[in-house]
Amino acid sequence: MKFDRQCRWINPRLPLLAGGELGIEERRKVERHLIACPDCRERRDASTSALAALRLLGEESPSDRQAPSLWPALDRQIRQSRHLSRPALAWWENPLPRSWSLASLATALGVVLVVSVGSPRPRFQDASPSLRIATTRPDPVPTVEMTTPMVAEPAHHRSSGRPALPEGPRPGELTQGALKPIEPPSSILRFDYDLDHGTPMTPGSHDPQRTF
Amino acid sequence: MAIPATRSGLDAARQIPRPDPAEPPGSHRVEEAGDARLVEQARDGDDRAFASLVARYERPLIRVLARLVRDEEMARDLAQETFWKVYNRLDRFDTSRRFGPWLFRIGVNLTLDALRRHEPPTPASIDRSIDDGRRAFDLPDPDPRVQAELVQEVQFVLEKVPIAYRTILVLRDLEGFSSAEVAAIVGRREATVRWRLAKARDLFREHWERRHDSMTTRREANDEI
Repeated sequence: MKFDRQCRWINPRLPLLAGGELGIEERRKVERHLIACPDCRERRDASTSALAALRLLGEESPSDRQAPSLWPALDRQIRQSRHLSRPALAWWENPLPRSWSLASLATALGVVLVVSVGSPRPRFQDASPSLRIATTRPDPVPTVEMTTPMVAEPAHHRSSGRPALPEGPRPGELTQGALKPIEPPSSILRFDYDLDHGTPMTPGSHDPQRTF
Repeated sequence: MAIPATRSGLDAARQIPRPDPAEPPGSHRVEEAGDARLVEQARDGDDRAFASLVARYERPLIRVLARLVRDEEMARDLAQETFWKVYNRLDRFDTSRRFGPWLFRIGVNLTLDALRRHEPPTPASIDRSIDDGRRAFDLPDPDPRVQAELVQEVQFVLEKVPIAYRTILVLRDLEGFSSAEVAAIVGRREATVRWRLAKARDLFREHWERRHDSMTTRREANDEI
């Protein structure tokens, strides 16, 4: 029998007929043609046999049924990814750097506070005396305060034969013999030093013209 | 005569496993939950829900991938990569659709990419003796050794089919997915898949007959000698 137009329409449907995937109308039409067309019947048989062979392969399991599950490996993978994708803690969230940074900050603030408020003004300290003389004011002249000025007792008050000194000892006069306290003067006696001559001078007697 | 499919792929895949008596009472409830609900729970960080999805689909997925790559270890690696990809894309999954075809689509695409990178070596053919006079199409053979050889021969012929058609054959005829499911997995319309299936079966038949004819010719040559 020749391969006519109806066979060309039937032929691509034969594999679907073998698999039972044709609709009712198409199936009736194909089966009606197969009754009268031995070539198409032969192709139908070949398709059916090939499909049976193929499905025989489907009955064989390509994988081991006893193979372990994929879940443990997947679980590890998921946990690792979570661990890696966890954002790094900011410095204020991390407890160790936070404590260190807070301690450093407190120390720095303390240092600033001590330097700016609590500490004395820095002095220029130099061991060089010449430089010290040149750059600083001279130390104040030490004053001698005589709260209980002592005067020598007149000689005639003692039992020695020495000539008596004139009466009325002068304040501040030292004589041999017992010392007798005298009344302090109304003004404190001060001695300044003439830097050029090294001799004591009373306050007010310093003549700036005499110093060089 | 229509050859019924052995089972439906995703229906078989969705069989709910029996609960383990050692597990806490609430765990079985997770197994009974639908795929969409499990996906939602997995999105919320419930690893047990995702573990249920893996337990539900890993066997059929490995089966399908092993059929395509013919290497079980590679299939397991690809399946793990598939689940990992699925886990990272759970937010993109539309829970109004079915989870199985989406999962298998990702797996099949990963496998096809792997096959394009390195096509596995073609398995050696077994020159089956057909001295018994039976045609190779006469199935099944009661002798398990002959049947095992026949299975290998079928596998060899299946390798000759281009990968695009082979994928359809594996999904529909070897793993029993419905045409709608195959369409969802390969991302084509059902009508397109139907005609591709017809073409794929026809290609397989051609290779199968050619193989049979070459064996017949060899047998006749041996008889003449």
